[in-house]
Amino acid sequence: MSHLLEVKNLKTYFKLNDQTVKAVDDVSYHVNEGEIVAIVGESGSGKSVTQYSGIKLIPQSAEIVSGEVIFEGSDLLKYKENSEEMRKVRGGKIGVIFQEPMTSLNPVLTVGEQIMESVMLHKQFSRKRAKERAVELLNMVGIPDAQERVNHFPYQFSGGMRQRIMIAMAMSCDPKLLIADEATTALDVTTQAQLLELLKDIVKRTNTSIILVTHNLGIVARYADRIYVMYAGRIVESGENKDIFIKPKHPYTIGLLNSVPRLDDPKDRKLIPIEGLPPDLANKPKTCSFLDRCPFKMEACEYSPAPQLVEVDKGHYVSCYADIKGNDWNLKFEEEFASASEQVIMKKEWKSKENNGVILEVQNLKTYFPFTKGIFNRKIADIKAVDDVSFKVYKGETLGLVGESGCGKTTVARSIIRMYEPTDGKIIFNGTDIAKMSKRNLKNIRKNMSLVFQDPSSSLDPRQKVFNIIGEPLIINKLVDSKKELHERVEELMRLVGLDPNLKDRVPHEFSGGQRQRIGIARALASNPSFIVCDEAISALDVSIQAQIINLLEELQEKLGLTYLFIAHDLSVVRHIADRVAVMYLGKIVEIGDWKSLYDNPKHPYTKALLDAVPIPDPLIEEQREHKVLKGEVPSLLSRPKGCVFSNRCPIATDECREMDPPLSVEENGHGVACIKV
Amino acid sequence: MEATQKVEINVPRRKSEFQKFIKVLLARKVVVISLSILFLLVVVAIFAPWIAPYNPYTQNIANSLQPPSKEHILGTDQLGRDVLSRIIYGSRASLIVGFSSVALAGVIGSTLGLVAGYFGGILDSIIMRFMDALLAIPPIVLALSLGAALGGGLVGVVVALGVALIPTYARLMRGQVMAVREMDYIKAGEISGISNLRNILVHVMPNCISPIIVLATLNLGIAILAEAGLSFLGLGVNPPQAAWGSMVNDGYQYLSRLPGLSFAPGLCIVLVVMAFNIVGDALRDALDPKLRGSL
Amino acid sequence: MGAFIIKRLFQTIAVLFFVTLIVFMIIQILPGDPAQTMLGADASQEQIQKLREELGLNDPFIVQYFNWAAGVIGGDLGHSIFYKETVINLMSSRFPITLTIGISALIVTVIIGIPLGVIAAVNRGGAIDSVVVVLSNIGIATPNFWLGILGVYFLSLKLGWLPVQGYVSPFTDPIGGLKTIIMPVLVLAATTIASVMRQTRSAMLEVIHQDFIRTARSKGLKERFVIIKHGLRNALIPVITLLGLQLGNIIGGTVLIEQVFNIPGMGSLLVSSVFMKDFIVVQACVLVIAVLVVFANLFVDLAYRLIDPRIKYN
Repeated sequence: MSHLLEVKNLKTYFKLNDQTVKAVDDVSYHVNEGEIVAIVGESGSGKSVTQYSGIKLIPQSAEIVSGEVIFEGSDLLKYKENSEEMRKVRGGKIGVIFQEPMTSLNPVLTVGEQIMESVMLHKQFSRKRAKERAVELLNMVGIPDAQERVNHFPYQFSGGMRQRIMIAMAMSCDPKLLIADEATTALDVTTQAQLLELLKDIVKRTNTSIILVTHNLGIVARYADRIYVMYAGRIVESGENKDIFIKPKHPYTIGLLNSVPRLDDPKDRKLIPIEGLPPDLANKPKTCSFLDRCPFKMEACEYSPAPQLVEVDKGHYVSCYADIKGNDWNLKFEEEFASASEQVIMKKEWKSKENNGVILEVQNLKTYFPFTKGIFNRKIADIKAVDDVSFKVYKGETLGLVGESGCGKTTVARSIIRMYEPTDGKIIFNGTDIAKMSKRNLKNIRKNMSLVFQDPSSSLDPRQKVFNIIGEPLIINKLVDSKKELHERVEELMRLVGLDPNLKDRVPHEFSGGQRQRIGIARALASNPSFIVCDEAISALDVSIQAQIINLLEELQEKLGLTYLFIAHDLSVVRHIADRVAVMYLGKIVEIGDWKSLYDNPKHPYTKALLDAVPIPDPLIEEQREHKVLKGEVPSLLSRPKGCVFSNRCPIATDECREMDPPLSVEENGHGVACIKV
Repeated sequence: MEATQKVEINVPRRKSEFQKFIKVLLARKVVVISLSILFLLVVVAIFAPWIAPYNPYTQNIANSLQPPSKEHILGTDQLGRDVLSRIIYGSRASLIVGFSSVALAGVIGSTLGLVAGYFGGILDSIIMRFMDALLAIPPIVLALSLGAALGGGLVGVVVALGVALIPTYARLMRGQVMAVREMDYIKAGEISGISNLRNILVHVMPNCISPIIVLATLNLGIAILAEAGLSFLGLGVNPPQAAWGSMVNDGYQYLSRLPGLSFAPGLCIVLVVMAFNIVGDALRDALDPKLRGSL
Repeated sequence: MGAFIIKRLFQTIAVLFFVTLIVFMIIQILPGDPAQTMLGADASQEQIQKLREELGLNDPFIVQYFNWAAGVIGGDLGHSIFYKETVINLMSSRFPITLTIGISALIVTVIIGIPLGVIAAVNRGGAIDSVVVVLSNIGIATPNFWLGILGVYFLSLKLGWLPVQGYVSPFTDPIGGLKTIIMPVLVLAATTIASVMRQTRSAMLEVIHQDFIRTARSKGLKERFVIIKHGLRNALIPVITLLGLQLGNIIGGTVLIEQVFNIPGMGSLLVSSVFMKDFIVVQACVLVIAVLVVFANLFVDLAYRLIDPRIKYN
């Protein structure tokens, strides 16, 4: 059987200064007609460059060294970059959906024009017919009022809508193959589910093949037929969906699966991070690239050349020595894997911390921003980013605050820490209301609460040494008496977060992303706070690094008795780390409860929709789940629906819901829901 | 608690910031040449009395308007003065005016921009509208009028040019400060209750200063051009002191007879300004952490 | 959009206020008695007193300013001491000359600078690019008065193609006018062409690396199409801002160029007035030039809207 696309021994190198970065290093794979193939890997694994090599959309510094990319029988690499033949393939036969919806559309052309030019080129349609086709495509991808919206510019659409437009554009000339490069990564989970269902639907209807390039294992488990796992420019394992998830063979694949929290985890599961960092692709070792991080490495691995892919099962290929030598490795491996799994028990059995007393109580918090317009910046409305939110945080617990972008979770966090001025309400911290406290009095309180930021690269002053960054809160709050004490304390903090104190004279960009986040945590811990707000503290990190930071946060909590307010959009992570969880939508808390009752027994239709949208990295479970998709988009804070904020998207809403704003009614066990239908 | 003790030390010490900076800066030959030209210029200006073959002020009407010869490599001017010596002394006017006016503009402009960007509000509006107004008057026009009003001479020209260059710094600094203010590391300081002064000195300023240095380098070229223009018009250092611009003008009258009188000092202006521009661009690349990070 | 225009107009008024203030200061900072300075050492006490009264120098600062500003708004730019004429009259013959040269230079800049910048960016690293880069480096560093003198030497004195100096209006004598105007315009445009070329090149290079260009390529569009339709329109946005600022430089350049080519425009009026210490005229010239630049920038800001639909003014 011939494949639609067959890539053989592809090598794409980057020339940077005098170094050669082997971004794609001898990669072979194929895609059949109508198939969804996933290429999985973390950032820097070469998964995107591999895809762009075939259609020669790679940067000038990249060079395709060797290989073949056979598409419908002819080798694409034989075509010149901008040749007639290549251009016929691009857009005509292979469509691409890029990652960044905000920058991938031309800002100064209407979306219609951008779809039309493709159709006019490849299908020789007249302008009029092309426009009709554009409207038809926009309808197909679910853009409301397509007839009118076709004349709008990209900035007039939300991120999700723009990505729909990208899909319309990629599909406009009925391509045989669609490359979706992290196409939903930048989107919220419900939007992501909408788009992936849309894509799957299109494949089924048109027999188009899709290459899903992603780092999200849940998406892969839910949608892919076959999977290729990439690491450091190579494919390390490939096979059918279930082979990979149920019988993973490569230590990296196993590591990935172990490091990701899942929506169906036991609460006491401990994440097993992949220690260390990926190799420098410019100086890749001759041996197996995963060697340094491999928990199962054998002596032979140290001096053998990099292993080749070998079929271990029908259609299941692995590049690892351990498996193919035919000795008892497989057995040994299973044992070690089992013992690694046993560490799961390390995490203590979960217990409610409500008896510890309240450390923070937020009462009717409102944070509004003025919406101004006109000549004199007259305020014409309030943007109600946080609208009447109340909750308690108990000592020593982690309260997870989840919701999609724009729901107000970050505003809540920043209001509590008084980065934003709350408009109304009380923030009672350790018995004192700090909502309206003056800046000077606040200084004493602030020692006891701190913040870990999302982006570890922008939250550390690039010109300061790590020592100064961590030491600053100590100096400002006069917590140390001498230089010597300052040094000791900084070193202690660095050790506490797993950093070598010898590195204290380095500047942030000399560290990796995960290490930088450790610096951020050390700074947050410096003034010895009892309460820490983690604002999306792990979402900028790769999955294997995320696990390291989650574990660190959990260990610090236990060791120092910290209380966390954990802001995140990833529901699986929150389920893993939080004792109690609050779900926000459009500036309001719609549901709150302890993790168990909230995840096992969600009551609010929005919570249910969110949980439905989260894919679980297990194809067996995914097969049985019903993929319900929440319709519509989060409305703007300025056009908040009347009555219940969720009423315009809610599957069970009635007229009553559109009239009355439901209060958060809390049951005895602390589980509260703001919905009159439950 | 095992993972807490596990220390990630497999980070090789990368090249120091300064080494990387120098490496990028000197990556291209033109930059090295430009730097050499500027170094030479400074040496010549400082040691002019020892380098110049003649006294630049000694007139010798009998020996006026001589073409280049062994004695006078670039000939003599209408008053019989040695052109080469006058060019050597002329470098002083260019450099003094260039550096002083840029320093004046840089300090005042950056401070205004810092205040406008950091504190914002009505103060910002007033400062920036004032800067817009200054920017609306072409530098040469402003310098000419202000310089004349101030009575001309070196000080007048320096002050006038300095004022004319202020708005570019203010605008750049304000933009930088506003961008830096939005960074999380500034917010992190604010959360721990940092004072405005410490925040500005420790975090804001150091992160805003690179583009200002680049602008200052590029502005040196602009200031030297403007000084040349002013002295070409006759408003600059007072005669008989030498300035390249006034030498071009003096020579213009004898263009058909001795074009070199105009050409030579003009060529010096071009070379020096070009050298400053090339070094400025190279500095921009070298100070850009994005470009430098790739090494 | 309407609100933006009104807001932008208010800003313009604020800028104009500061412009008048700066221009007004030119006389205020004259050392000693401004009237004495302007009239010279041999002026009689009576003459000085008369000028003091005319200028209102005996009034408090604020009153002086408002009297002067009221005059300016009413179209009264004062009387020239040297020419014994109203400044408005003096300017009416000179302003059009400078404007003709300036606008021609701006047009030449656009016609030559933008296409060369685009071509250089597209052929990055190639021969054309190298030539453009070198030329723009030289162009930015070359004083225009010196370039003018080079032109006079080679094109007029050596080759005899063009007249050495002087000005004939191209509106009354098209061919003779064109001959006198061609060199000043090209020399004036040289620096701005260099800047615009450079800016266009770097704007194009930046745009070419944007995600949406990759998207355009992924659709199989011809490279020429990608560059012009998707690239240039985005790259033009910063270039247009630069053009607004360049107008000021062009007008500033005329001050020197008119001197070189002996053209009786605003620039030479300004220079001669500076040396005559006729600061009333100096003031008026600076004011007119600044107002011109302010309105040019206002126009550019509004023109933005046409190219870039994104800009949401706030």
